[in-house]
Amino acid sequence: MLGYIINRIIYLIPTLFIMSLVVFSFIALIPGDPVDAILGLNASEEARAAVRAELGLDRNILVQYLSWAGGIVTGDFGTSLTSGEPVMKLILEKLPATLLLAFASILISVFIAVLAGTIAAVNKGNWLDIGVLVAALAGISIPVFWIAILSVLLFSVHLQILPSIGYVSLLEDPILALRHLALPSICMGAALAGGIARMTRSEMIEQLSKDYVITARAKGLSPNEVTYRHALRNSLITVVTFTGLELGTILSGAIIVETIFAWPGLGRMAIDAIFTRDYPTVQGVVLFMAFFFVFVNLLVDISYTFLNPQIRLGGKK
Amino acid sequence: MTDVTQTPSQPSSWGREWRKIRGNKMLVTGGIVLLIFLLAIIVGPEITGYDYAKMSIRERFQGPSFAHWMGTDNYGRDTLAKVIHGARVAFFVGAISVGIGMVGGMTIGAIAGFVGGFIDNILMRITDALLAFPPLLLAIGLVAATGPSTTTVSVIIGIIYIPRFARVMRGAVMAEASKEYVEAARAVGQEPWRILFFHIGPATLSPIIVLATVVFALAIIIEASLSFLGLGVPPPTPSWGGMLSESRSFMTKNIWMAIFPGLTISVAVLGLNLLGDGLRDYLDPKDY
Repeated sequence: MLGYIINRIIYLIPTLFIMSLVVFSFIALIPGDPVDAILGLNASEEARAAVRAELGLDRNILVQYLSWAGGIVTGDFGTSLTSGEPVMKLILEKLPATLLLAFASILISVFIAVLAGTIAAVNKGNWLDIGVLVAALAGISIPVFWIAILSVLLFSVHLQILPSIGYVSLLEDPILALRHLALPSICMGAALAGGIARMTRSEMIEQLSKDYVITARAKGLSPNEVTYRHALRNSLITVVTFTGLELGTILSGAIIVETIFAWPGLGRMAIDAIFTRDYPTVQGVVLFMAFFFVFVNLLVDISYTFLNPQIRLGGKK
Repeated sequence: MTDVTQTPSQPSSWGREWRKIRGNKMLVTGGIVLLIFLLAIIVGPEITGYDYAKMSIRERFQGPSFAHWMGTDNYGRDTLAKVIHGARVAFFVGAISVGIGMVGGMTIGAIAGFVGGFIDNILMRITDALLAFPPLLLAIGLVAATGPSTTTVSVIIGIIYIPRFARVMRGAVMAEASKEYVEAARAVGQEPWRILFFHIGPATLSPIIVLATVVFALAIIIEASLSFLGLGVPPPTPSWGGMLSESRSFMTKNIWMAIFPGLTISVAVLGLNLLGDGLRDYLDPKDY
């Protein structure tokens, strides 16, 4: 087990290295002189020299990369060109808002999707199952920004029961914070729920056809007990793993949802940085989110293998 | 993988395939949706009788009517004409992205799966790293550097999906390469590239076709997301995401500006997803 975890961590090193190269190349990909792109053509020579020095553009590209990557390893993601503050400090300020949004949307999506997926599996082939399948496919197909616009129209503009923009800290005013959290998290939750419901349904159908379920039924357990105590419990391992791996969808969704709802998280920070041409911040946020995604995948992988006795006990995977 | 070799001596084969297609509701529905979009793209926005760029201030903020089926926008432009032009943009981006993803991914995947060893290891580490990026995040980073344009966005989305095609192609090539007919081809002295192109290649197409429909749908969503964020197709070219972004400023004046472009994206993506699911069932080797 420990050997497996160490292997997985070592395996990550080349992945992280290549990811850093990709993000580093963002500045190299800017057509022409990056300083022109950042400051415009009319900037003073002093300002240009300052940006050039900040980005290390006067040095050899290999030295630039090594210096930048060295900083990343020690947690230094560079300095924001607009605020002059360390990018890592800005990231850590925005992270709680994104984590809160991600956590709330996962809760909402898992609740809806597991319920819907289980109902579909138990009623396989009838209209309830078809209804869930169609709704899940629609959930996967409808873009999150359209769900967001429609929900703002309904809940904020017409019914006027929920605020359409803004963020309030949970510690400041929990009720108001939850009211602000409702629409963004429901939108992101809806976008996630389709995939999780499909996964729950197929996993439940597989579990319900297994021998232990037949045995449980033969023992005289009620259908509900068989479904919820046995089949659902075993399906949840796969469902939770799948949900963890959906973090990419959550992070992508956060970029859009945070922009629409003026939610002060990492996604909105990235978009703001793009429009102000603050490239160190763009690089820092993209790399941080990508690393975060990789590490959560690693944790999901490790926890899954921990739950799988074949690997935990040193057998074959 | 999928052995679809059929000889002319099987007179019922076409009829059997047709029955199989007709029985596959997802494939038929997805196919019909796709055909409608293709038809609209071919005939173009002119079929509405309006120029998608022509403003008419007196007709602005109209709801659906016989004259303007999807209403008009804040400049009085016909929304249906803009939506049809947006379909051209979306499908152009989808086609270029899938083309780049397929060519790049199939080449890398075929080399990795067929050659194996050190080269396979290196190529797969690179694809792993690229797969580790959430696609929209990587697209945003790259567009931020290169600047937005329809072609740039298409190329970037294509590059982002190369690793997915590479992974699927590699798996399919490895599965095929261990089969007896490949060993037989090797035994009779055929050159490796001939074996790869003419024997293994055709057998790997099923999963690639299914993936292509899924990536087409994802490309449409990513393009719409980028345009919505102001990082995709630059205005005044109408794109579905850009139209939705514009609609946000006029939500209280004309709800239809937000309804129709969003509905169109959803129907297009739903159609492609249905087609992908239908193709997966249709091309499933278990059925043969």
